[in-house]
Amino acid sequence: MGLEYRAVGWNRQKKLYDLTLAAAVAVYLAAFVGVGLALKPNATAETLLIRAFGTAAFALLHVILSIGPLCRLSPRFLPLLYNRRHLGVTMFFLGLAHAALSIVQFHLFGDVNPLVSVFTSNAHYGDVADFPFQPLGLAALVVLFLMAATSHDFWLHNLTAPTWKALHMGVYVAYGLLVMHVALGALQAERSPLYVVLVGAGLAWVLGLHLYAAGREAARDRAGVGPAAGEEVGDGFVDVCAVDEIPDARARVVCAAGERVAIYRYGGRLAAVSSVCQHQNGPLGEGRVIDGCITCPWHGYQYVPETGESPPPFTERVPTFPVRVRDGRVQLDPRPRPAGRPAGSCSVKGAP
Amino acid sequence: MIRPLRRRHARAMAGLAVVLPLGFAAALVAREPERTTLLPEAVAPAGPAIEAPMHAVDDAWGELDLGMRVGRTAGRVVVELAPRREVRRPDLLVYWTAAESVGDALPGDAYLLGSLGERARRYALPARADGGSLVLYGMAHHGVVASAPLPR
Ligand code: HEM
Ligand code: FES
Repeated sequence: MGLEYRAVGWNRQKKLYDLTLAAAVAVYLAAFVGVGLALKPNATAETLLIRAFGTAAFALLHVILSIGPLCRLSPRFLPLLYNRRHLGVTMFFLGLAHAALSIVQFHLFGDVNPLVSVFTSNAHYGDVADFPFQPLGLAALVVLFLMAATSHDFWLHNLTAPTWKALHMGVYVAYGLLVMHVALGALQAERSPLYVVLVGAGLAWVLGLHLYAAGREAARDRAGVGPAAGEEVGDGFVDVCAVDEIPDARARVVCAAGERVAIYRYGGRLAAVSSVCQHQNGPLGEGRVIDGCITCPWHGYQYVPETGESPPPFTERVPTFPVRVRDGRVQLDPRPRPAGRPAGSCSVKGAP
Repeated sequence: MIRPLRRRHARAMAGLAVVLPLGFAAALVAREPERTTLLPEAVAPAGPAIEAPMHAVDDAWGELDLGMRVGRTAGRVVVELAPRREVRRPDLLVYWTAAESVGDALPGDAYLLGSLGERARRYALPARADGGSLVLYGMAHHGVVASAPLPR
């Protein structure tokens, strides 16, 4: 295979993230089983574990689905995004434990293959209240497995970004399947309104948050460049904003020619690059300049502002755009420079 | 994030926002009314009536939490067993034996009265019966689960 394999970098932040995650999962499982035993002394250990793993996976899926839109709304949530894939893999294993125990408990001791039994033990496919909800869980588990198995960056490169991203849109399918797995399964058996309220609130939260964030993003895309909305000022340049509107080491993101461009200001200079990170399309324009490099807020990939290239040994590259300053206003040429002929930078004073 | 991808995410979510609330609501509407496993007061127990009540014992069955009433009808002894909690075992049979105390095995003279229901049931003892014990026998594990002496 012609692909270079780069080992995962284990830094302090990742370790802290994973430790917190493991501790939270352990505390949740222990608390669920403990409270369950106290409230229902007749419940068997298997039942409590099935429910503890199932609810833990489902709750974690809500957290995972919230991170994306929350980061669009406020950079405070970025630390969660950094290692989101570990959340996903953890969620898969929790769902797997729940599924495996369910199959042992409900399907293993019959005379039918347990996996076939998941589909055939209840054949009321035409009945809502008695609908076979377990195949829905199994289908979700298959989707989650494909995503967990391909979660490493190795697969992102190997499958190519578009395929990988399409595959990982499967999380929405999995979420839909699981909501119905719970609504047609546990909610039919458990009568307490508390469960209905919990699942309903989770659904409203995930849908509401995504639709709200999507609406804001769409409005930003429509707004276009600068105050004059991309007014052409000569030589193909458009007006963006006043130089002083861009804080040092930060960028102004504008929508030009259908895509977002980040105009960075650093140490008295300006440079414009595509706001789409080559790693996972993170919002490059929401990062900052660290050690002279534009640093992506998602996973910290770095690019040299003038060339759009990652410093060696890395080989990522983002398109660059010409910028200039006239009368204290930043102007951008929204046509990307061809690779190998980077746009360079200009002084905030207006000189080249 | 690139623009077509953003749109794809927005469309996926818009789709879910239509389908899932509908599915969720349909699942809730379809819920069957809660089944009560315990006997509503108004429903009469199955089996012969008790014409002349003799005893009522509340705690004869320990953990099983069965109320027991004993009486006579047409000269025969009739016993009523009324679960006060959900009965978790579906396999229990009710026997009468002349023995006053019963071990793990079913005594040789055990006389089958019927199965234990999740609602109150009455059982007519054989004509010769006077005293002795009632035995609950578990089919699944082939053993005596509990027994209780009957007052003479
Ligand atoms: C082969 C796959 C699966 C099977 C056979 C299965 C089976 C079951 C069963 C039998 C129940 C009802 C348990 C009870 O009432 O005690 C249940 C409930 C539930 N399942 Fe699954 N499931 C599967 C996959 C999943 C996955 C992948 C998730 C989440 C990631 C999940 C989340 C839940 C949740 C949240 C509940 C409600 C809480 C509970 O009762 O455990 N299930 N599942
Ligand atoms: S998207 Fe991962 S570093 Fe930019």
